[in-house]
Amino acid sequence: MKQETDELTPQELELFAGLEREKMPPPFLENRIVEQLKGAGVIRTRRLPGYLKIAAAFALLLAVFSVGAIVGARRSSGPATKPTQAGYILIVREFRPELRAKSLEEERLRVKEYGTWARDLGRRGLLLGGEKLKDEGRLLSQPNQSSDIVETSSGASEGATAGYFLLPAVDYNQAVTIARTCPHIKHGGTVELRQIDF
Amino acid sequence: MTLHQSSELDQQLVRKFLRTGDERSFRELYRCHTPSLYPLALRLVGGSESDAQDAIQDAWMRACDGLKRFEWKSSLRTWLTGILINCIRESNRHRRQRNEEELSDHHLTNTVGHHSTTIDLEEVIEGLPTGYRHVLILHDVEGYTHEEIATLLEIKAGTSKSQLYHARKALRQCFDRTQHYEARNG
Repeated sequence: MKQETDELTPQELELFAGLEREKMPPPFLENRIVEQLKGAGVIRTRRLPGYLKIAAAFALLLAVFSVGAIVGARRSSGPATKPTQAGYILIVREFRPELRAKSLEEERLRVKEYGTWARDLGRRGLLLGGEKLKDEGRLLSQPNQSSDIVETSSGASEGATAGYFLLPAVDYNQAVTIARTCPHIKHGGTVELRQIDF
Repeated sequence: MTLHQSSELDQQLVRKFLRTGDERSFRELYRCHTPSLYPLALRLVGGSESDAQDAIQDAWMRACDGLKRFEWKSSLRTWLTGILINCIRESNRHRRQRNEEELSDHHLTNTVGHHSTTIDLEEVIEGLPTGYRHVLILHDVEGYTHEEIATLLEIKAGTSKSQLYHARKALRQCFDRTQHYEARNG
């Protein structure tokens, strides 16, 4: 049979031997998988030790400062009218407990569905970015001026911010049209649309 | 590292992850196997980074779900490869973006490029129809036998041989076009 004797020539073997055999995907993928495994309860989450809490709070302050600096820079450069700039933020709220994924497989399918939805919007120029947020967070407040800043843990309770998407919509109508297609709503969840105040 | 040593290391990593369920042991397992799974995923999906990353994510989610039931009848690498292939095939079925049955000469011509002077094997492989591409990658790149491919792809060994024959034929058509262009343009 011809198929049996159809071997690769030495030149072809050389070409195949030159192909890359090992390549690490970008680091964000590893973190994304770890987060999904945590969400599904396959990887156990541990509470942060005290010194890391301080480091996390410091990192948060730095982030707040950076966001302030970016907003300031944008304000000084005039109004945002470019279509490449997000006009709206779509905030995904945490599900009620009974609406959360019941199994690892369901969780996997949901993540995939959200990813497909986001990629489709991205391809059509209707999404500028977005991220799922980790379940654990920190709330910082100062009850009165003279007291210390109080830090408390915030978890994935119902209504908490679970993720966000940046939409380059030109008005609320367009933003609502996009938001209505978000799979989170189909699964019983709530999303919130807010216009960014440039 | 010998196959035996590799298998021992895999068993240690899996045992540790199943025992502790902690993030660090998963990351060790992930970093041990993902570098070889990722190029395979990229080739199987036809070069799309985001599709390959989705497939890797799906595969690890399923693998972690099934690790407790893994009986070590094959190597961990082969088992993970099987899961990865299933994820990609399911995804392909859902999207139906490609015509899996017919060899598209038009696409192959475009893949080689009218002005290319060197053979880019990766691009030529990407341009193959899905069925041909999967068998060619598993046989000629990954080194699996037709019997192993038959198991991984849930096809007959004869089908694997036939697909490989047609895949290589399509590859050679691309090579010939490139060489013809080189000869004509010096």
